[in-house]
Amino acid sequence: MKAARLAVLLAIGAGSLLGCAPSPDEIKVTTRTSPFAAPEVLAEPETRLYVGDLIAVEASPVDGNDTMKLCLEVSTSDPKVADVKRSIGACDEPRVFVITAQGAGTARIRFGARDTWKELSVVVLDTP
Amino acid sequence: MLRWNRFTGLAMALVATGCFNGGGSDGCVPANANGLVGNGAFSYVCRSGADQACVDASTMAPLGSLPSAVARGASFGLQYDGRTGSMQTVAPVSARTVVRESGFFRTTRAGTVGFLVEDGAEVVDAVRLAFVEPTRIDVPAATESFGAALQVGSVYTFLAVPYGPVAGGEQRLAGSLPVTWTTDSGLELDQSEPGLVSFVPPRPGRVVLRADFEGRVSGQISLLVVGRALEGPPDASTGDAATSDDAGVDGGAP
Repeated sequence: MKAARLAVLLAIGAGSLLGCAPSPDEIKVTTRTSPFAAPEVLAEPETRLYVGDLIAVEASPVDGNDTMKLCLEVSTSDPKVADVKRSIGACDEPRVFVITAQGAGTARIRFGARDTWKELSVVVLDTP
Repeated sequence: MLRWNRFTGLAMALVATGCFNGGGSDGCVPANANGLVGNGAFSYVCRSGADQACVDASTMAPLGSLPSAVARGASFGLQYDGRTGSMQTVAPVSARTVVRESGFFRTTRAGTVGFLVEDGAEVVDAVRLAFVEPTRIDVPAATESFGAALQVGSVYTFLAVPYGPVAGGEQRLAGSLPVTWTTDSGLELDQSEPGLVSFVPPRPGRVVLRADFEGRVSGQISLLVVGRALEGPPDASTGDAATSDDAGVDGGAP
C-alpha cells in the first residue's frame, strides 16, 4: 500500500516537473559556411536558394545567455519546395540541420522546442 | 618522461592517422574534414586525365580537397570519408540539376549545387560546389614531349581544358568536359574519354584540332605533322605503322 502511494507521488512529482520545464526564450538560427568558420547570421526575412542547392543551419534553443539541452523539432510547410533534415547527433550541440531546395516556390521551415518556435522563410528559385 | 601505455599508443595512432573526435557522435573525423556538418571529408574525383584538378595523372584530388569551381556540364566524382572510416555514398540534392553517368556527376546548370551523404532520415554531411559556365577551351597536349611538330605514326593525346569567370577573373575550371572533337584533315579520332582525344597522324601536313562544347564554346590548336606518310593502318598494339616516301598531302612538312 505504501509502495503504491509512493509510486503515485513520484509520478505526480515527475509530471509536475515536466510541466514546469522552462521553454527557451528563443531559437537562434545561424548558417554554416564551413564546419570550422563561425556561424553567420541568416538572411532575413527570407533565404533564397536555387533548385538543387542547400544550406546548413545551426539551431539552438537559448534561455538567457545559455544554450539549453533540448532536442529541437523541425518541419517544413512544403517538402516539394524546401525539405529539411536533421544531421546525425542533432540533439546535441552543434544542432545542424540541412535545408535542401527541391522545387520553385516558398516554404516555411519551423524549428521548435516546447512552446518556442522560430520560422524561416525559404524562397526557392528555378534554375537560372 | 612519457610512460607508454595503451592510451599513449592510441593517442599516437590517432596523431599518425590525422584523426580526431569532432564531438556529437562516436567515431573519428578525418583531420581535413570539410563537410558542412563536420563529420568527414569530401574529396574530388577526376573522371579522366583531362581534369586538371587531379595532379600527377592521379584520378583523385588530395583527401579533403575540393576545387573552387567546376565547369558546368563537366563530369566529376565525389568521395566521402566519414567517422566510420568507410566510404559513404554521395548523392546530389536534386536530380533536376545533377545527372549521374557511370558513377560520376554532371551538372545541368551553373551556380551552387549541394550534395549529401545520408543515413536513413538523417544527414551525415553536406557540401556545396560552385559550377561555372565555361567561356573558353584551351587545347594543350597531354605531354609536351613532341616538341614543335608531331611525328607521323605516333600516338598523341590532347585535352580540352575549360576556363571561366571566377571572382572577377578568368580561372581554369575543374571537370572533364564532354567536348566533341573534330579535325579538318580526316584524322581518325579516339574520343572515348570525356575531354580527351587521341590520334595517330597518318601523313605529314597541317592539322587543326577543334574541341566544341554544346556549340556554345570551342577551342582549337593548329599542329604541324612531319615524317613519311603511312602506307597501312597503324598497328593498334604499338601505335607504329609502316611508312612510305610519299610527300605530305596537306601542304607537307617543312
